Amino acid sequence: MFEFSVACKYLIPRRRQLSVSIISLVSILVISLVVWLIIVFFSVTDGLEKNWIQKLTALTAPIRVTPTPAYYQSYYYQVDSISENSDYLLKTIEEKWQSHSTDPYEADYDQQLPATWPAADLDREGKVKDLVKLAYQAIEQVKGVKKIEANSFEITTSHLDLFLKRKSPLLSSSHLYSTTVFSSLSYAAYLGNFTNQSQLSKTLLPLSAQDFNNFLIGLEWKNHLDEQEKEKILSPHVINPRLQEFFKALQITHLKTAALGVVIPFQFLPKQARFDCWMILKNNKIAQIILVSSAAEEKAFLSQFSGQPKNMEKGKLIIEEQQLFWQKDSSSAMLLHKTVPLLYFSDPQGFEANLVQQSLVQAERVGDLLFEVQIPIQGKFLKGRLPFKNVEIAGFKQLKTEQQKFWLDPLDLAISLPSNKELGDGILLPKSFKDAGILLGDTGSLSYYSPTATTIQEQLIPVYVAGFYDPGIIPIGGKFILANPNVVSLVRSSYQQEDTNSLSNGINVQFEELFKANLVKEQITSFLKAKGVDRYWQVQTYREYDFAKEIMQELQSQKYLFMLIAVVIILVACSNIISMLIILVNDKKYEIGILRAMGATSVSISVIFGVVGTAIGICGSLLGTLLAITTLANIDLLVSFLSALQGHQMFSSNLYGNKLPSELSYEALLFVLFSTILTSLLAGIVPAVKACLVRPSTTLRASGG
Amino acid sequence: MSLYHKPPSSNYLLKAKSLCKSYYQPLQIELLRSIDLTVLGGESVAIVGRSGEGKSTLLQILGTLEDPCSGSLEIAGTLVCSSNKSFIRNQLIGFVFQSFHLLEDYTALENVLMPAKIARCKIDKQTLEYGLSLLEKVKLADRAHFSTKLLSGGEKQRVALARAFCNRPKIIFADEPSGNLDSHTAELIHQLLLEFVEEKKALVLVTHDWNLANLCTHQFELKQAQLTRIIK
Repeated sequence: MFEFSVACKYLIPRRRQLSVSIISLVSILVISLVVWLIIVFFSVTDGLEKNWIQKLTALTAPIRVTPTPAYYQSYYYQVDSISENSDYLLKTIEEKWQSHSTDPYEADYDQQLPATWPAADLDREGKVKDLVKLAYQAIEQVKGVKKIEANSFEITTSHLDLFLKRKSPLLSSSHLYSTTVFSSLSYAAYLGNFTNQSQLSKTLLPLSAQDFNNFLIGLEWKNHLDEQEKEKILSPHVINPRLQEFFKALQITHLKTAALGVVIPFQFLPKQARFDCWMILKNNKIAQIILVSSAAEEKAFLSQFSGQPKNMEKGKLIIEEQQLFWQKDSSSAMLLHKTVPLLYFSDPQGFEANLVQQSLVQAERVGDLLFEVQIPIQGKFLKGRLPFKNVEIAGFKQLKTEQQKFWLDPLDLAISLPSNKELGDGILLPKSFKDAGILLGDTGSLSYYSPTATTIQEQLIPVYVAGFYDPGIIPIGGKFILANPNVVSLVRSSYQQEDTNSLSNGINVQFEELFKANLVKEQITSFLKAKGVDRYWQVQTYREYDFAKEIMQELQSQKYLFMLIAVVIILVACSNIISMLIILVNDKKYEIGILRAMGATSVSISVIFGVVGTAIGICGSLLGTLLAITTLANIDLLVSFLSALQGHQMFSSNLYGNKLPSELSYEALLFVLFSTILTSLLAGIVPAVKACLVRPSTTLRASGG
Repeated sequence: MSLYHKPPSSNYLLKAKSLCKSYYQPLQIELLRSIDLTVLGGESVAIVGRSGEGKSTLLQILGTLEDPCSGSLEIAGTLVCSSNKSFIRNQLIGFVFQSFHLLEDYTALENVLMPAKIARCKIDKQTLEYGLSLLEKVKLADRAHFSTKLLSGGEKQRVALARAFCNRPKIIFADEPSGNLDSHTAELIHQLLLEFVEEKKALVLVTHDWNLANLCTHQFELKQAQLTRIIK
């Protein structure tokens, strides 16, 4: 193909064609920028959408089968309220599913059926159709999808009270005090039931050392519901088994000093040493000696004391033969009384610590736990056993255990919500609670109202925080608490049952292959139709949920909008190619004439310029793709740069998650490559036609003189 | 392709019949009026005339580079029409221009072989050797890999000549082939062109050079849009 060899000649920049070279370079750069922008944007939005959908379907399900108003009006549903066999109580879907009898009504001793009720829906054998069981059957018979599961869900509203206990440092004149501050928080919230959803582990948030620390400290406290009692600490025979259980699931590897520092026991000290230290004076007497792990920590420590520098002096602590001396500069050393406490402050990473198993067996309170520690001070290590007092967990390792843990962590695959007799029911809170400072192990209660003979009484269910999850973009996500099904049932049953809001009760159909959602929906609806019960059930895929529909459509339309913009940008970028090629054709008129005289067809000539245009398009797209791949690999850098530029967090982690998705979207890549190459090919058409119209006789004569 | 390879119905290599050419812009000028010309194999034709008479236009019309306003043209037995022009230019015709018209970004050898490339011949060792032999014929084998930019006028014209020979054409059209050249080079070029005619091929050239014109078998003069044969 001589066309290619000629096109290659044109593509290689030459000094004589400076204008052409510059324009083609600019076009390549512009195209690559556009391609870069589009691929990065689409990859990120695609990833976000995937994340959101993943969270949405993990919290709900890819498909939901919910009862329609016709269900709530049906004989099948209402008959429970007048049947003795059902205790005159309406049943939830779960209860209907568990129930052995379809029709509990006994004409002999139950009251007469009200005339307003619709007739019972009977099957061929004259029995009442079991609507719930048919719905479950419809889900079970679905073919072509792996691991399909049906779980009933219930959603209700409740009131959550949380009772927080936090250690807080107080600073007064020259002393630091630690107090436990109690506070309570109260939220109106939605309550949903937690079924054994393996998908949910994808949305769980990792727990931090602070969480575990709070949980460990909280272990010895009584639930605040027993507030009337004076003694708030549990008895040792309750605390010890809890501690044992706690340490079965967690190994503490590092400890750090609490805000007030920790007093170093004398037996930790080496025989001879010199340390930089701070001395605190009180009434002209040395009250405390403060040791800091490193110079970096010293600054952080000093910032706490910015108000009271006058009582403090820097100097050296000298340890010699069991005696301690304080020395300032080169003045003579002063013997320290043994009652002067040596306060130690570690850096936030803490120091190595290992639980002494014997202390766990004997522990009656959390403070009885002993840790084998290695405390770094200015390059030296102090070794010894330290009690769990004025220290906090800084590092941990989760252990694998067969037993149910106190908490839920993303590392566990098969998960269920824990429930503990004394602690209460574990609940999962959305991310917004974690951001508000709620920690693992905080206890509280869910309230509901139950009518008694004379009044409506508030009932409390004790709960504790067993983990956090990320609700993504579900509008009610920030207030959606997950609890055990029995808790939700209890709360929900206190409300009027004729709640025809389709969201409050239904069946979640879970499976992993989201793209098969429509297929599953079709199979379920056609089964229900075949059984004649389709009017009682509404089958929705995750794209159709009332609360998610708008966002899904918004995402979709945003995507189309940007695609439109992308096409326009690509067109603009590629129009550069047109002008570049027109200049090239003008430049090369003479050569075109020669080639034509030698027998090159007009098709060949257009191919030459088409190839040049497309080659620029391809070069630009490849460069852009490479740039996009590098950008996506380093997206965090870009985000932090943009955030620094803007002065605040660019992408709110509530909306976008902790990390922007960085997976290359192949869909976007194909779209961009296809559209760029197509438009650059189209851009080649105008110049190619122009080139064809070059008359050899004119150009040859013009330059022939 | 069979259409083009049928044996010529006659031994005319060029047969032009009542060719007319007029320009309407800016003034109406009748450049050629009903020109007939036939050239047989082994004949060479020289067209002379004053400048501006339309010699070059006539040559370009004969060489299919320009369309006549009316009239018909047959080359090597093939009637020229718009669909076979490229083929005719590539396979049946060779051009030599006064200002050489070489491709500047290519070497001499690449220029020589460009018609073969356009004819989609594979550029293998054999073809390259053929190209070199053509350059040798014009005594430029040592310049084969020189960029044409570096060649002198005479050398360029010889490269152009070698290029015209590349696809073994039936007719060569030459427009003042030695116009700007020294007498020694001009002579070499004349000699090469006449050698070409000896192989039962045809040469049509436009020149002011009577020495060259006299070497041809026939001489025509273009005057007032008419082509008249000069009989000595």
